[in-house]
Amino acid sequence: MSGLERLFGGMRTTSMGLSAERTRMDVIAENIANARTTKTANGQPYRRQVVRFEPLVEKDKHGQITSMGVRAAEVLPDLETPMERIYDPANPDAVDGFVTMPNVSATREMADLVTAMRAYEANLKVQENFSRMAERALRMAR
Amino acid sequence: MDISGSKIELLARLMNASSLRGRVIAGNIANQNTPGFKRQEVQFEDSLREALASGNPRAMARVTPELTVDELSPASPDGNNVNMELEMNSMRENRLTYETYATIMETNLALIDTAIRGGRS
Amino acid sequence: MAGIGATGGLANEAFRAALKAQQDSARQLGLPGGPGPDRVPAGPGTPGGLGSVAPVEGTNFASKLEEGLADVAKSVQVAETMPAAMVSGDVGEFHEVALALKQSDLSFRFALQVRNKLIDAYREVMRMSV
Repeated sequence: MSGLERLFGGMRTTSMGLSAERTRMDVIAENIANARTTKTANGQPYRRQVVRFEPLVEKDKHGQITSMGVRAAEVLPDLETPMERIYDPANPDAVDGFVTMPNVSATREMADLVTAMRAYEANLKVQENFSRMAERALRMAR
Repeated sequence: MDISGSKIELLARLMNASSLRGRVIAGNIANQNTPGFKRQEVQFEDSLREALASGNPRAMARVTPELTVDELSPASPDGNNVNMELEMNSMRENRLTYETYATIMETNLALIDTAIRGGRS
Repeated sequence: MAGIGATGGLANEAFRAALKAQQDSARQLGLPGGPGPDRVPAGPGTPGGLGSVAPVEGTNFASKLEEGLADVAKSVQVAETMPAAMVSGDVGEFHEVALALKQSDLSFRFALQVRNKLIDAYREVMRMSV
């Protein structure tokens, strides 16, 4: 804790936003890469992963709020979206001709990726904004 | 011998509120994808205007920036009600306002500066 | 930005010197000129021979100036104490920093101007004593 948290609280918020969206994008990339993985290290087909975001409010030593950010709290398996069973007897992992495929949809992942990227860009703009405001304020001292 | 005037003090308070608003907007934008998140805003200028209209000088001094949670704006299925177009617009407006206050502040400070120089510069 | 007490500072010292010079010369002439009650002895033996003059009570220009000095000294120190204030989390806004520095600068220059005017006044008084 350097004492500059109040001064840079806004920047801190945007940093957290950038970080969280970055994690989200990494997870999406992982899903896309494993869209056809029928057997992972644990022997099971790959299951889609999702990131759980939650707000994160930080305070200084006086109890005053310094930043109102967000964090990628955890990466969880998507247990809601059903896995797909397809008929593909040629597949080495087929059981009675059927293979269980990952519950990853390419279109869905792309849509999520766009959402994450937009959020990332927006946070960058906000950061630039804070920079400009600070510069303008400091100019008053001249 | 307080060199500053009440105008400068008022401008400083306005800048404080504007700075807080900037942070709150940043918080909304950072949480645009957080499920269940409700956007927040800062109340100050309206309260100040009311206090001004009341004619009581002490009422004005008592007004402080307030953080409020917006539960009313429509939300998406996951409960998040951050509207990105609105927030980005607010962000731009807020920055312009802040910078305008800074310009007015500089003008007021320049007046004091000229007075100190005895009318010469 | 109110002051809490005068401590040594450049403008401060200049002020005190100018004030003291004014007070000393005023006393030489038998004029009331210092803070607090002044009692000038009556009679022709007094240099300047102004006769008895009523004592001057507390509030006069010089003591008012002393009070104002305290505020100015505190304001001028801001630029020095700013880095520590920042690191210890006492400064929360960039405009706060800018205003404190500007105020510091204005206060200092104001103090210098007043000091210069005081010295000019002192010189005037010295001229009159010849």
